[in-house]
Amino acid sequence: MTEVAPRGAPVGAHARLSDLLLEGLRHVRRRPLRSALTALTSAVAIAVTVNVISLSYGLDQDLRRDVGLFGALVVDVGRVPIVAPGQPRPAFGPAELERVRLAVAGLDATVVARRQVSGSARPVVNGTPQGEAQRVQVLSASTAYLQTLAVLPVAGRWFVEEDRQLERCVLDLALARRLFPDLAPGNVVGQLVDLGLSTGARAVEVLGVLADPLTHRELFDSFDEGKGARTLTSSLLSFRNVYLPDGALGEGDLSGISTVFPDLNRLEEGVRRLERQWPRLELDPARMLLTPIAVFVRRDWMAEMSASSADGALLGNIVWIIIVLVAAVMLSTLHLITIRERYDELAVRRCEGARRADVAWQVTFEGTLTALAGGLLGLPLGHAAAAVLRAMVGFPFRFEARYALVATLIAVGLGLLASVVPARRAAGLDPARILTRRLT
Amino acid sequence: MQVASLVFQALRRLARRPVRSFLLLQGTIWGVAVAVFPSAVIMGTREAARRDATVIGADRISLAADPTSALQVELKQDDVATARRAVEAAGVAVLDAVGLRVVREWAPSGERPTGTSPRSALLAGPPEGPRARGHSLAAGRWLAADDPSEACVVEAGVAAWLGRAALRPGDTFTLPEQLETLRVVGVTRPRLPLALSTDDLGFNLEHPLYAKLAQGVLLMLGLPVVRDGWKRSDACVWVGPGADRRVDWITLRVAPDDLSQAASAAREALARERITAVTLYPIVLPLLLSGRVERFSAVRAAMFLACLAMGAVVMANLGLLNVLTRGREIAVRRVEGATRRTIAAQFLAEGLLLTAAGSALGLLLAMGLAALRAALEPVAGFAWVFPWGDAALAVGVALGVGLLAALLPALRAAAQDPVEGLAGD
Repeated sequence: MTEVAPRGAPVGAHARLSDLLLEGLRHVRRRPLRSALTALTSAVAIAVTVNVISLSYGLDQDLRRDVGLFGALVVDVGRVPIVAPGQPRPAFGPAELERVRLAVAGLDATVVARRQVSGSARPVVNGTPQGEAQRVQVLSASTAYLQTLAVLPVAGRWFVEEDRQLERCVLDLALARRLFPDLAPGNVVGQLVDLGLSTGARAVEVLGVLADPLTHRELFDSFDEGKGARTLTSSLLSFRNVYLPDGALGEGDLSGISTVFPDLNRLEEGVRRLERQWPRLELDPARMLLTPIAVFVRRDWMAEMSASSADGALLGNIVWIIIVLVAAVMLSTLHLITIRERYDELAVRRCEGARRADVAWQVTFEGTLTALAGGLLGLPLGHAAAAVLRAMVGFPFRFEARYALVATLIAVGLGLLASVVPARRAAGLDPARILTRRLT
Repeated sequence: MQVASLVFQALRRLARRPVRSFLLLQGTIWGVAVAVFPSAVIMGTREAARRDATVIGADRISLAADPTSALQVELKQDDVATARRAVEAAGVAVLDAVGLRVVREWAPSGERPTGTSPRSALLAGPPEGPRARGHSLAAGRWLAADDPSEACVVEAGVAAWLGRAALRPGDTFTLPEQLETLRVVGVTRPRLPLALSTDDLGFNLEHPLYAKLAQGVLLMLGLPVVRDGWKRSDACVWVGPGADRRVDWITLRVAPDDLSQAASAAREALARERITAVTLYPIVLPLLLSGRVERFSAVRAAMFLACLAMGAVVMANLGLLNVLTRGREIAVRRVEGATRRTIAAQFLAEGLLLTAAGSALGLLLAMGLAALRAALEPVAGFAWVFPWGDAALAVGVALGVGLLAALLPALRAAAQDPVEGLAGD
């Protein structure tokens, strides 16, 4: 059964927005169940879209913020992590430190040399080491080391010059949690750790706990099978280190020299000067020149990480684009079928003076209105889905207002997209033929 | 009305509007595809990893001294035993544990400065060394503990490297710039091309996306460049360990499912001995083998249900519309004697058939996506299979949802008054 448009429907060459709205609402009221079902399709598509966008862009944002804490004005010089057993090892020690100091002289830069070794650690309770020793990375550096990062202690403090000869350490938060799972960071300060090093075992007192700059550590750790393959230098920024005062691991061979520059201009000048000493390590495999010792500009790496993260977020778009396209195709087909049902109504409107464009506008407007209504319904639905998925998967699903705004715009786009073909079909109808067929 | 007749009628309606039906089925198609395609890849790769473990190195862990440690570390034969004991203490059976020394390498001419391309090498290690690295014997025998120092096992490509037609057990030869004459006791089989292009991290270095994408990402994530071209040459000569206790590589062979746990145990044990080692093994396969990716199944299920919900809502909508446009047909059939139940059954059958068609297309799409995913993956061993269990579950749920979607129009059609239906026209 078809219905003819009631009196009061917009006629004439210039149907106003309010008329379109009124007619759209009337159309919805005439078929409440079917309109609700159509809107529901849009609601589900928008709920998925807002979740996918929030997740991928949220993760991207977090990662870029984390990476931003890793020392944007730091340039490292050190051994390139090439695993080539049996090959001679390049010298890297006080002589190289002196070369770095000379190269950056006059640039107001802070030069921090560090030594890194692996060892094992156990918590000491009541004077006795507890449990099986765990593999840790141990690092000794000067008091200026903290300047190479934008990370601060969450409990206790970093070293001062007076700590130099003392058996003290600072732990990264992730390591503090692993060694003392039952203690809050504040209570880890003052505890003793039994460190197993090549020079022998020693008990050191925890002086402070450094904040963890990795927002999604648990998530990334659970997929990071490559951690064992990383060298000590590469693992530095995993933030699972035991820090010791300068000299605590002896003197001599170094693992790396970090130079902190006061600003970008002086960093660039510093890199130019350091590049005269050693080649720069490129992260692009095609341009990478592998030399035993290289200059590593952390900004390069941070830019690569950020770009890679942004690419990942872009990739996430594929999921919601597919969902929105699927919804658009289905809605479009549904609208097309509905148009057939409304042939008479549309023919009468054309006879009353409505132009083809008016009919096309009406169909487009109604389709968009339904999709938008569904989209708005999809926002709370998406919010609920985010909460359920967060609890089930442990992924940082979230629901942010600005993404809701984006999703609303997408809902409008979905409505428009789904209305293109039906609107063309409606506009192309020949009212004379339809009404003649009806009358005969 | 018989079921066959119901199905036949439904089929006729479906065939009358194939394009429209296809477009309306998008929700079901993508829902089933999303649900099934990850299982196809995960299960296929698990099977391949276990079946082809030796080829893709899914049963191997290689340890080498960390080159960036402030204290220079050298691995010794004793460390092999330490690693082995630690892995066994973790409850993992060790199939092989060997220490290998790279006595000499021969770089191919024009090699890139990374030094990672295949190289010929003279390797010193215990008799089970070649086996631990995935070799099998083609002729002769493996080395024995009491073999003289000139006895060697040659890999399949050594003859070609030395410019000889063939090398057989009993033959003697001299390596370039070496004085000692070696005598062949065994020759290994040529390894598969995939084995020759797969590195210790499990990546297929010949895959077009490796150099374009994966390598850069790995370097960015801090994974080192490894100069171990000899592992991919098939042109190495294996001799006994000799008196030198130093080793360059420790290779452990375990079942693929134990890879991650064994590597962790070995690494921890060496750390307790104050040895800093890098541990190389395929880094992606353990994620699939251990089921850690199952944590995504909730996301997959959510996507599946979202697609199905969209599909169901559209189908219910279409069904309702059908009831309206087919009012006269329903009325005539009722007048002809069809009961309300028969009318409802007809609409249900149509809904179910549509969903079944959508599910079938969804399975096809899933397999296409799985094949594409496996082909685009630079990790060696990625494969796909048809996951019968998950496919049956997904199709079952889709049919259930399709039935629910058809219920609303079916009830409305059954409730329609035939007199009104005929009078209205």
